[in-house]
Amino acid sequence: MNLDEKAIQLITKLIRETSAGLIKWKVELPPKTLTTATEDDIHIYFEAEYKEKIIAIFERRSKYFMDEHIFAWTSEDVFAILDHLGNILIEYSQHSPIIKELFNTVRQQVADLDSLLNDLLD
Amino acid sequence: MECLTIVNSYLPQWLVDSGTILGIVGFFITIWLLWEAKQIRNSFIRKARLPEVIKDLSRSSAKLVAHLKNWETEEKEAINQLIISKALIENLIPKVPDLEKKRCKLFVNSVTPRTLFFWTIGSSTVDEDKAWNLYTLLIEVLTMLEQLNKDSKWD
Repeated sequence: MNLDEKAIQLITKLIRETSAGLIKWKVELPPKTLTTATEDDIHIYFEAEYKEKIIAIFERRSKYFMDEHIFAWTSEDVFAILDHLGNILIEYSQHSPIIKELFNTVRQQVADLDSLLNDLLD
Repeated sequence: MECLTIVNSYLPQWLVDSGTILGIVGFFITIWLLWEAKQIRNSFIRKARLPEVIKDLSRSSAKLVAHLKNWETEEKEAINQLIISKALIENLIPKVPDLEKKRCKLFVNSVTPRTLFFWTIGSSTVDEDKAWNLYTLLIEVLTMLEQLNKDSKWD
């Protein structure tokens, strides 16, 4: 089994456990290791504790240069495992629908979408 | 009493031998060209069909995971989406290279059991754990197809 397959299996497990309410995610400020000495912008950053490790999912926006001074912003969803000092141990950012799905599941949990919509409808 | 008559060729022996050798070589080249033509045909079909199938599979996998999250009440809908995904992947199997073909077949055989003579390989019942495992397999196939689609732009 290669790294991609293992990452997909882990992320599927996280989707399942998040939707069952077994993992609690929260919005946090990204660790300094992700924001210093880089032009990348971390747009939204979610973090949770899972089996004594910190897992995170975030949207990273980076510059895509078409010429020396001409660039466009691109974005990618990233899943990462960090240690308690905020160092990234593993990063998985390959374009895969599974990361987007985990992002949606986490967003739904953090925003408590059901109650939010119910409140707005009342 | 029968008499065997040998007809002399008008061509020299070395020319006859060369012709025979070239004929054999030509036969193998024809087989190779037929194989190449099949590969090119599959590559064209892939270019045309892969983006559409990926779109349909992504839609199906998104619906599947939504039903999986509510397995107790939406079990039937989840199984329906698995069957739709299986049909889409089955359609793709003859058109993809060997590595992807293997992964696609694994998914198809996991959704429905195979029958070999009198034996049935695999289980036909899908419980919650199996459904989540099938979703993982589906995502692996989808990721692989997306990469193949990117590669095929360079064919």
